[in-house]
Amino acid sequence: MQLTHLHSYARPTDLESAVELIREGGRGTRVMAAGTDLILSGSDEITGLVDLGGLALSYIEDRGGAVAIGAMTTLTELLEHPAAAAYLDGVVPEMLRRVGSPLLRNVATVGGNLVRRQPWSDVIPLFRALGASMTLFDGEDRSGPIDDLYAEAAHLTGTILTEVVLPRQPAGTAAAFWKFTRSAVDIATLNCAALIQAQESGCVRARVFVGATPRLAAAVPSAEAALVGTDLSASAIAAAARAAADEVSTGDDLRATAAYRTRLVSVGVTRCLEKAQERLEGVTS
Amino acid sequence: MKQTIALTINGTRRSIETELGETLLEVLRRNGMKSVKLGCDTGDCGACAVLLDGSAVNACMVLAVAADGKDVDTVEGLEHDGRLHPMQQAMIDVGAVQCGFCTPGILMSGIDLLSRNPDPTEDEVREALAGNLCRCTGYVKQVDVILATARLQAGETDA
Ligand SMILES: Cc1cc2nc3c(=O)[nH]c(=O)nc-3n(C[C@H](O)[C@H](O)[C@H](O)COP(=O)(O)OP(=O)(O)OC[C@H]3O[C@@H](n4cnc5c(N)ncnc54)[C@H](O)[C@@H]3O)c2cc1C
Ligand code: FES
Ligand code: FES
Repeated sequence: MQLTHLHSYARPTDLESAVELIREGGRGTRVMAAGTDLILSGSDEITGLVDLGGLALSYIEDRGGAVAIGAMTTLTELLEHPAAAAYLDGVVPEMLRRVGSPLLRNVATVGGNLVRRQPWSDVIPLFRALGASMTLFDGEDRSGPIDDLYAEAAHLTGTILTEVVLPRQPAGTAAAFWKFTRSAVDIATLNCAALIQAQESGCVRARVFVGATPRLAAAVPSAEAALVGTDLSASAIAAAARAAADEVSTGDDLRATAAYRTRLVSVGVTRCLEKAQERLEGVTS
Repeated sequence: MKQTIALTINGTRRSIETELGETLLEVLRRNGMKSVKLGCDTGDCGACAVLLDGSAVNACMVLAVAADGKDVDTVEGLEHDGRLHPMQQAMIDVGAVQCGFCTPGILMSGIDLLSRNPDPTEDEVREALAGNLCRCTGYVKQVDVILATARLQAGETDA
């Protein structure tokens, strides 16, 4: 048995009751989406679960070019949805095809992946690069950037992530995702997501995130600054990759050494930006 | 803590007792569904794959209580009127089974794939099997089995 200390389980059908149950449950009570991480943790500390499966939080909506995603939507549902395919040349399905296996994606939820803050999450760097926003519910709705989930002091107890929105992007915007693994379904040794926006004057906005360093994905401001104002030529991309390799601090773990990862930062940022740039040309020409 | 849940296993609704912290894998095996194999228990090998409301999932990654009220399909339910499912028959005809430990999970992934995409490419079949590890065969014949089943089923619907 995986969760040996579990002695209460509830599947509420409205958000207010869910929040109440979490508060009443106290320390050992956790919110459960699909439960994949909770089961894997096998944690003795978990004594109660509040399953969000009874709430109407599984949906995907095209809202005038923005894509709203209910927190309980599975990775497969998002991967197969036409609104995701239509968004920035399908960069979201491009990333999701690299997450685990179909067997995992058929249950694992978007909300569970974002809230869990795994350093090797593939969803987090891309959604942050895209500038996603979210709605949290703790008795009332609170909206803000998903970046708030990754602030040092982020504290979610008694709070439910209900929705994530990928914003409508201005014309001339492209994005790409890159992941390096040792085998087809391994978690990332390093991953990277980038978004660029260009006008006639050149690049006006750039977002570059690198994850699994092996720490949680973070923005790379020096690479972003190296791109803005340029024509996004090969030399501009090379300068951004050099800046990233200098800035991103990498570490050792069982998958790779810090030095190997630093090489990957340079390769990953280059390939990600090249792909985004190709898409941009496809868009503008 | 025990709880009674309702599962429709291979079309038969059953009332089943589970510990709250047990996975669907444990509960299915205890109730006779021995095609559901315990390989890794960490979501990596796919030997425990079953169809949950029609989608192939790792039964070790789902809590049994969370499956309350849902439909579960396993290899035990594939045979009809003494006839194997075409993908099972193809496993035999093509010779895709060696030790057989991975075979039930591969059938579940293959059936899920063909229900979403009746005419997959070889690459799509390989991607669909990404979560099913086989230590014996090298996958070539299992990919052939799924492609052959797709062709067979397409022939049946054309006719
Ligand atoms: C074999 C395997 C391979 C994997 N490979 C990858 C990979 O390649 N890339 C990748 O990015 N991920 C990977 N994962 C991680 C996987 O994507 C996550 O486990 C999954 O998305 C978590 O979702 P869940 O619904 O199961 O979350 P749960 O386990 O239910 O919850 C996870 C955490 O989030 C909290 N939570 C969940 N939903 C909410 C909510 N709406 N509001 C507030 N709190 C919430 C829970 O309390 C818990 O702490 C892998 C996992 C496995 C098991
Ligand atoms: S036993 Fe479930 S995936 Fe290996
Ligand atoms: S036939 Fe032995 S593991 Fe696949």
